[in-house]
Amino acid sequence: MNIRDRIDALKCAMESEGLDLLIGFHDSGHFIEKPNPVMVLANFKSLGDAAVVLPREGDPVLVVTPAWDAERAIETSPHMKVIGTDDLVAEVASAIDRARVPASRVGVAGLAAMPAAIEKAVMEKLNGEAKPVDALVTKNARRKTSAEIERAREATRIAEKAYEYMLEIARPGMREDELASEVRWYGKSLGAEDNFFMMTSGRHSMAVQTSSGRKFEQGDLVLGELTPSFEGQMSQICRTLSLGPAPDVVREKYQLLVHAMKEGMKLARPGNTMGQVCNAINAVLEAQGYGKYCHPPHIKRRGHGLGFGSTLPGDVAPDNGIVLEEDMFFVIHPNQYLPETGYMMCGEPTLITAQGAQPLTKRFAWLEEVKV
Amino acid sequence: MFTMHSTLLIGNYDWDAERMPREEFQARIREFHKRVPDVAGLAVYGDRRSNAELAYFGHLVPKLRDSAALIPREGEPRMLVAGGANAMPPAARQTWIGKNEPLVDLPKALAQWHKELNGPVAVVGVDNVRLAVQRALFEALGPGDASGRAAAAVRAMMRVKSPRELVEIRRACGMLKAAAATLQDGVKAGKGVTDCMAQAEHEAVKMRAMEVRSLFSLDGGRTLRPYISPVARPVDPLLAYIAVRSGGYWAEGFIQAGKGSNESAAKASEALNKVIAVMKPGASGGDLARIVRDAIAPLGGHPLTRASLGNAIGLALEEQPLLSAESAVKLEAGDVYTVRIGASDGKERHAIVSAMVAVTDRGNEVLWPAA
Repeated sequence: MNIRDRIDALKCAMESEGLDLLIGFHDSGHFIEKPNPVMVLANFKSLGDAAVVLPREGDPVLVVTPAWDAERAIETSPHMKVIGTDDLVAEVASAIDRARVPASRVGVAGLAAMPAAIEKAVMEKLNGEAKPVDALVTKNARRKTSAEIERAREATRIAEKAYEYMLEIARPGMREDELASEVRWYGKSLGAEDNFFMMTSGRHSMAVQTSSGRKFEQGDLVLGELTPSFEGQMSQICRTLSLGPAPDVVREKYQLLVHAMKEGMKLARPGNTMGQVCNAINAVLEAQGYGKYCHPPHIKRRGHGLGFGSTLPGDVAPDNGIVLEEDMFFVIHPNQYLPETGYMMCGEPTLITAQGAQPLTKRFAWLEEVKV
Repeated sequence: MFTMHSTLLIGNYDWDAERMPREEFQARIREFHKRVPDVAGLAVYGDRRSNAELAYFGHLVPKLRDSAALIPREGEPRMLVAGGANAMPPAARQTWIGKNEPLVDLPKALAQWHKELNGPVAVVGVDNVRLAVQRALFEALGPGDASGRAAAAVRAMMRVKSPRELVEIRRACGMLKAAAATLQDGVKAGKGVTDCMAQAEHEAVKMRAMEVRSLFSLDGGRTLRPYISPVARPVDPLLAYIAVRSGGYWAEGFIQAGKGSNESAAKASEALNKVIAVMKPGASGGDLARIVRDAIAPLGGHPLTRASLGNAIGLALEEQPLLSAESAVKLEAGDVYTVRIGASDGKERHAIVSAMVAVTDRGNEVLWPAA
């Protein structure tokens, strides 16, 4: 599947929904959990506010701000007409006028996540009648295109290389944010334009958090959620390292998490639901007496979709009934707080194929004991 | 300047009491209440993209989710931090404010606080939030223009940089200088674009920058782009833009690396020197724009700099006032500006040069010189 196939499928869905025009918006707040209609339809990671105007019959138009970024958009989105502007609302309003369709047949996606002034102006232009169709756009992008899958593979390669670098340089006395910055920079030097890199350290952490100025100590478990993005597609690996030898209980329980992940992965195949994947992971932990730690406030999900485009298939959570299909991509991570060890992380980026789950990593999560 | 925002901030954002002591923040709070005496409380919102006001009053720059400082006229301020109880310890390291609590529902929290204070409450920093949130916030605070007056007062206060703020901006400029030098070395050594940019950014990372952002040109300065895809080939000359944040404060600059100057670069540099020479209290953006227009003639402006030739800079990359032809705002002592002059023949010769300039009583001080 490629991005043109995705647009054609969306046009068919527009017909079913009674839409003649669909406008997908995104601001420049690129976030792992924020669906991005512009990335989904145009493959364009914007510097400023942007929109895709998609008529049911006719060619799509990509509107980007600032105006000077239009040439990059033309390179990135050859399947679209590109308009560069410093006034997104005015340009979208013109596009609406040109389309000559009643406001009641216009769908909008991503508008409610835009800055207030933009949403207000667009809704006024459409007499408040535009239909929010975020789910339609997101659902249409639930399967990755061939290009997105290739980017996910490259992002995964970078994540594994960045983790190797992290193992090389992590040492007692170093600050968390110093290590995080170095690893992020290293990933960038390999091609990652961004990285959602959560990292926490301590002997008994309750959860992973943003890195801080805390200095590592011998005996710490360092938890890392390395999430580089390559050309706008994220991948994620979750890892745990011990600064110095890990206690036996940590080694033992880490193996339990890896086993749980593998059990979940067995069920990650077309036709099964995300809920089944989650339940398979939980079953392993529940069998060991950790049932109460498998639910909030300790854990609410065992993985999730990966931005910056569509975030489907959503969370690896008990109540997620989304049925898995080929070319869906997400991370499975049975990251877990256990009373004996504190929080530990293990997780692999997973592609759904006809044969089942395909982890994109070369090596599964393991507990690395760094010599200090 | 438009740059690509990161999905998560990961640098050194902890509060350092030696660099920016509690008294500095407390003085800002006193000054605010002096300027807007009828306001019983000021709520300051910020997220990882827009956080200048929150950093100004609380030092905290949200790395992941949003935060809000509740600052009463009387009593201790509180910092509300999204992300649950686990998010409190790292957030506590980032702010001088001692009371940190989970932020669950800001409109509800503001409504409750408004009720407790029994007086007008203003909220600032919410220009870019979603419409539903903005409406709920203003509904929670009830009618009145307290927020508008508070925003104007905060803007005016933030415009004048204190000695400690200038130290931080100088520190950021030092990082920018080091990054620019590394970029020059990389281009001269014939390294590929990605290598050059990555090494330049690494220089600032090693100096403990909070964040580094960049743009570069692959077509001789005609267009600039963020780093999305690796570029292995060398480009010489390479026009690049680097922004560095340290201690909350930004420095930015354009760097023309590699081969010597073209006519556009020479004209832009000449214009920049002329502009800097007149950047004194009382000069306006319009005055500066006229100097630029005359100095770069017969060349035209560069698309990136056509709308404005700069802006105030500090806790945000772009603060008010903007320096543009339409701007009647007069420069004042205490202002710090980034000035960007672009020139282009519309064909092959394009250039942007820039400087960071602090306006003083007697004139100005160039904090970061153009190459």
